[in-house]
Order: sequence, then C-alpha cells, then structure tokens
Amino acid sequence: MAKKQEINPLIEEILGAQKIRKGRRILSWFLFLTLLTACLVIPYGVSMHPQELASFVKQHAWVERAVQRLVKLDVLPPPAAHVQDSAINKKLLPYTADTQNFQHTRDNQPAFLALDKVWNPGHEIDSAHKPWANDCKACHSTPFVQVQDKDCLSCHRNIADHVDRKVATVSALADQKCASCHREHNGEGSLAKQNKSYMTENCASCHSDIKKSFVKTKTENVEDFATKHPEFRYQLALSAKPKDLERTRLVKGQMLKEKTALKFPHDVHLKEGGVKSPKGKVKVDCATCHKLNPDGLGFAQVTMKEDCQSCHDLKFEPAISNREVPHGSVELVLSTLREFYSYVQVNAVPVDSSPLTAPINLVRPGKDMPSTQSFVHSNGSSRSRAADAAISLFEKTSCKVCHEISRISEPGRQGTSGRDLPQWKVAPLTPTHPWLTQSQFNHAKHRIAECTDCHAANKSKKAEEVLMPDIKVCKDCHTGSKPESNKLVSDCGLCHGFHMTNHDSIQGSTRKDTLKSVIKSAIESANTTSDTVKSTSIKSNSVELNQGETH
Amino acid sequence: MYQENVLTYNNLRYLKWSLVLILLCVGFYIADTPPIRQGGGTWLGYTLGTIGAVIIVWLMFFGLRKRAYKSNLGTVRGWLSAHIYLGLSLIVIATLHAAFHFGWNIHTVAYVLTVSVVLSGMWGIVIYLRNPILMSNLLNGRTLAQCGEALLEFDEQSRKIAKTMSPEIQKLIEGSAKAPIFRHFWQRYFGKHRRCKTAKAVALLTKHYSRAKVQEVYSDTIVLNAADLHKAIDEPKKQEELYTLQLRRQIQLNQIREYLRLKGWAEVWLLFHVPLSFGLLAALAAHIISVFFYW
Repeated sequence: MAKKQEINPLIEEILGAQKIRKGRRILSWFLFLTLLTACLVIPYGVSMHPQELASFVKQHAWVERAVQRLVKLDVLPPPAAHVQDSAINKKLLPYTADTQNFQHTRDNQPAFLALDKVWNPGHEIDSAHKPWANDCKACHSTPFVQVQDKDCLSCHRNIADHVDRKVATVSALADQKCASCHREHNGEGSLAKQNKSYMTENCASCHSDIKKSFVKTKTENVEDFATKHPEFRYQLALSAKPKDLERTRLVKGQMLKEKTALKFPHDVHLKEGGVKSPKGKVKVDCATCHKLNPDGLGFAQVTMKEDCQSCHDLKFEPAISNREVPHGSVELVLSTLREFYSYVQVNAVPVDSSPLTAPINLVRPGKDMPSTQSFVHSNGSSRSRAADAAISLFEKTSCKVCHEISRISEPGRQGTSGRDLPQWKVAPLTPTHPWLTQSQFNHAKHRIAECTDCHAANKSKKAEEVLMPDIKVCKDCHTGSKPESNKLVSDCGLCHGFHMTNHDSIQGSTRKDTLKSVIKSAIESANTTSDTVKSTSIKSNSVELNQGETH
Repeated sequence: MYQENVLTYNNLRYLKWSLVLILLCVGFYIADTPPIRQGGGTWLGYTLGTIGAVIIVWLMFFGLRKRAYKSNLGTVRGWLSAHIYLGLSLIVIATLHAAFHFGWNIHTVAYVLTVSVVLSGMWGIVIYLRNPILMSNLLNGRTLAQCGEALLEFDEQSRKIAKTMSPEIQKLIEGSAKAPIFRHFWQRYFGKHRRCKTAKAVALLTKHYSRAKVQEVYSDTIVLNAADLHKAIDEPKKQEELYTLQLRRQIQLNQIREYLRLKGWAEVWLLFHVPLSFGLLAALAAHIISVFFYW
C-alpha cells in the first residue's frame, strides 16, 4: 500500500505541493546583488578609479562610441570636467574672479562619467555651484571625510576667517568649518544667505560671554539686538595718517568727535532758506554732496571739484576773472600764480572791462563779500604781484575758508616756478574711511527715512562732529530675534557677517596678488580656451594644471 | 474566550512599545527646528536614520531566529509580534528620516524598498492570521496526505463498481482517477481546475441523468454511444453509488485544491517580502556608505 502511495502521481503532486518553494532564496540573492552593484559598487568604482576606466574606454572604440551616444541621449550626464571648463572659461570668469584657481588646486579627477550622481541627495545644489553639479569630487575631495575648508577655499580664496585663528584658539572656533554653516544640497537659494540661519543663537553661544574666549578683546557681550547689545563702535581716524584708525564706542549723551583740519559747518549748508552762492541762494540738501554708491551701501567720496567748487571757486584775479588756481597742491597753486603774473607782464593780456574796481567772488558763500584786490597793475615785479595774490588767496579769500593754513619759512621746492614765493602749509585732512567695519548698513534699503532722522546734520556746527546715530535710533524700528509688534525682527545676520572684513585673506594672499593672478590666468585661459573646450573630460583637467599654477 | 494571536501577543506589549517609539519620533520631529530645513543630515535626521537602520537589521534577523529551533532568546511568537509592530513603525521613522523629501536617487530607492517590504509584510499579516484557520478548518484534523489517500480509496471503490459497466463509464472513472489536481501551476493560486475530470464524471452521473443532458454537457469531449448510454441508465443503483463516490471525491478534491490555494498564497507573499528585504539591505548599505563617502 505504502509503495503504491509513493508511486501514485496524485499523492506525489500533493506531497510536491506541500514543499516550500525555492524561488525566495534565488530572488533574494538576485535583488541583493543587483542593487548592491548598481547603488554601491559602480558608483564607488567610478569615483575611485576614473583614470583606469577612462583609459579602458579609450582603448575600446566601440565603448567610447556607446558612451558618447548615451551622453547625447541624456542617459548619462555630460562629463564633469567638460562643464567646468566651459563655465570657467566662458561664463563665470568675468564675474567671479575668486573661482579662477579652481582647476589648479584640485588634485583628484572627477568620477568616471559622473555615474556617482546616483548618490546625490534629493535637493538641488546652489545655483552658483551648478557647473560642478556632475562632479561630486570637486567638493567631496576625500572619501569618508566631510567637505573640508580647503575644498571651499580652493575657489573662494578671498574669504576671510571669523577671527585670526592664531590669536583665537578657542575650541568652538576650531570646530567651525565652512560647511558648518554653508550647507550645500539644500536648494538653489544662495548659500551665503542660507547660512544666516545659523546666526543669533550660535553667535550668542560665544558672544554672550566673549571675555571667556578672548580675555583681551574690546568686544562687549551680545545676546540679542533688542535686549543685550552694546552701543555702536564707529571707526575714527586718529590722525591724518592713512591707517591711523580706531574703533571708538559711543557714550550715551556724548557726540563722537574726529579730529579734522577741515572747516565745514553742516548747519550753514543745510539752512532751510538755502545758502548764498555766486548764482544767488541755492537750496542744498544731503544728496547734493553725498551721492549714494550703486551698491546702496556707501557714498561716493565728496570732492572739491564735484561738490564744492561750483560755489567755492578758486579765482584770484578780478581783472581776468575766469582764471582759477588748481585745487590740491600748494606748489601748483604758487607756480600757477607765479607763471600767471609773469605772463601778464611779458604779454599784453587783455583784461576785463572794469578790473580795478569790480569785486570777484572769492569768499565763503554765505559771508559778505570783501572787496578783492586786483594785482595785475599793481606796483612791483611780477614776483611781488604773485606773492601778494598768494597771500590774499591763502590767507584771506579762499584756502583759509575751509583749511587750516600756516605760513612756513622754508623755501619752495627747487625746480618749481613758485619756489621764490612765500610758502604755506595746508594741514592734511583726515582720510575718508568707513565708519562701520563689522557691520553693514544699506542706505538704499532705508530710503523711506529722512537722512536727518538718523544723522543730525542740520544742527552740526563743526566738521569734527561725527554724525553717526546711536543704537536707540535703530531700535525705533528694529527689534531682536524675537518678534515684537510694529518692529522688524532682526537677528545678528541682518547687520553682521561672520567673516572678518578687515583682513585680507585666510590664505595670506592679498587682494592685489589675486587680481594679478586672475588677470594672468584670464590671458592664459583665453589662449587655451579653444583647446580646453574641445578636449575630453579626463584630459582637460590635467592640461590646465601646470599652466595655471601661477600663484 | 479571548484568543491571543501574534498581534495581541503579551497584552499588546510590542504595539505599545512601537507606539511609544513612533510618538517619540513624531514629537521630536515636530519640536525640531534645524537652521535650514529638516532632513536626514540634521542631528535628528541622523538619529532617526540610525534607529531605522538598527530596526531593519534586527527585523532581518527574524529569518534566522525562526530557524534557530534551539534558541531560547524569546519565543518565535514574541519575535514575530515585535517584528510586525517594529516593522510597521518603520514607515513612520523612515518617512521622518527622509523628512518627506524624495528624489531620483538611491536614497529614495532605499525608502521605496522599505515601504514595499512593510506593505508586503502587512499583506503577510492578513494571510498569516486568516489562512491557517481556514486551512485547518478545511482538513478538519486530517493531514493532506490522508486526504490524498481518501481520494485513492474513492478511486479504488469506483473502479470496482464500474467494472461491470460500459467502457465509457470505465473510461470516465479512470480519467477522473488519473487527472492531476492542477493542470497548470498558476491554477493553484485560484484553486480551480475548469476541466476537472472528476467534475465531469459527477456531472455525467447525476441522479437526474438524462441523455439530453449528457449530450448537452459532453457532446464536445466524449462521443457517447446512444445504446451504451441507455444501458448505463438502466443501472440506477450502481449508478447512484458511483455518483456518490465521485461526488465525495470531488468534494475532497476541491478541499485539497482550496487548501493548496490558501497554502500557495501563504507562501507567495514571502516571495515578495523576503527578496525585497534583501534588496533593501543592499540599498541601505549603499545609502549609508554613500552618505559618508561623500560626506
């Protein structure tokens, strides 16, 4: 019976049906190995051995053809290096000089055919980094190591550190990397803006007790703009020397003063009824002299020629009333006068109709005009006429109006026409400089306010008065990081950047160096553009490598 | 009485654990406000990812545990209960880890595989809870082999009765005895065999057997001699006996078919669940390694 059962196909079928199916194991292995190959082995291989794979493709024409076709059909992304060459040589170069040395500093090759792109996380990368979107290794230079500062700085050379790390050895800063705040793969928005999200809380972690990190610092503790922020420090010139600058903190109720040799009362110029000028009363406002730069941040430098001379002209001889001395150099002024009166004596220069009596405008606008002397026909030599004219010009009518003038006994410089005239010294003016070094104020964004809302210029009597506002003025509209009704939420990043603005570069190279190298590289790359664009992905990187190492 | 199963194991212990885990994850996710946006790269993202990866690896160990008959490390039933609930919690953990961001890359492949494995597991739970009861009800305490033997018994008896009957009937009975349970493998998953020879025999041997009916039903398959048929109709007693035997055979056969159908489906979900989970293991390894390779 038992034998019969075994033979019987029915029983056999029943027994067979009860067996566990074997497909599971085979399918499991198949899926495991397929996915492992596609997701791990291939991307790893193309990333680690781009050169070997490239030379393999080159040796096999049909593979090369197949690869090219796949790229053409958009199945494979275009080779990474190719994109970079075009980007650097054609598009980006004129605008982002900083990125120029990218190719010269990287020491690894892009992954073969950019097949490692399957590892790219979902979000788009910053639009400025798009030319490198297919080249993971451009930034991820070392496997299993987070993007390092050197990866960023190979392009962004001119970015300064937060503080000099030789001075500051605090651990919080030692751990700080570019990538701590600049998180790539978070969409196309600018990384420079995005990192402001790291402000305030992170800043306060050190700055709420900054002396703990830096004993010697003059920086005061900050927690929040609304609740705990010190009064502003403005940079002042201590003397007329170019870099003799110091940041000085405002003291409540006191006006900052910067020593200057300039005489300029803002209140006179901003009088409501206008100010006297050769053309009658002229209404002057702040923008008449202070012209906002296109960036909206600072102002163009006020110059005698552009902003003063239309009223404060430098005429000196009423008989020939269209002549002016040049502004800027005592030597030039004296030589001009000396040459002028010699010329008038030697040549019969036609004079104006009523030279002897007619006054010319040589005085500060707003003041009554004293009668001006003409020296064309006065007695004595042309030298003495010139000397008289110089004395009048320097000490009575023109220079003295705005400058501190002193007569000196030294003779004039040899070889100049005015050397035999009396000599003067004009006290040098303090150079113009930014008031704010560690923050940015965008005037363009504050156009809704009047200038005088923040700068009390219409009450200022002396040029030495620093008309910069105190923190209270800002707090009228701005609050800290926590919302407050009718006020603008303002975290640290609104005004302050992380990177120091007043030292040249993290890598010690100056801007001048960089500019030089950029120009040199630009010329070089212009010469090699046609070759580079044509060259293949793998080739092009190494082609440029040697030519570009100029830094 | 309340019957405990894998879902209600140990007073819903693992359901509670999983719910606590899910609530913790959701709570932290809601409370978390990273500087830029949530995702796998924040501290919470890394934590959720680590929890998810550990759970996945542990869930895969169930395949080993269920075969480790000597193991005293908890009961298989307990492991299965935990396997189910932790597996279900993975959907939440993996989604929060991804922070609802998906793309065309291997990271999303790993996520999709995770979800697929869990979904196939859910299908498995339904089958696991439903099919064994239906299967044991079907067999009613017997084994499948015993059922098979019963079929052989019916065939033997049928052959004996049919010996004196017309060759057509003998052919019918023999056809019924020799026919396979399923002709094609896929029939197993529907539990039906349209051209079942036993069903044919039963139909022919119906009590209310009539020539017209026979002709109507079988004219296309068996050419029946009118005289022989008449003779067969003349033997109502044997006929009825034979009919009863074939009917019982058919019932038994259909039970076996239904049993194999239920058993087939109980296995086929694993054909998805297990290979997909191994695929997931590869994708997970690639996901983790790639993230740290290009950190």
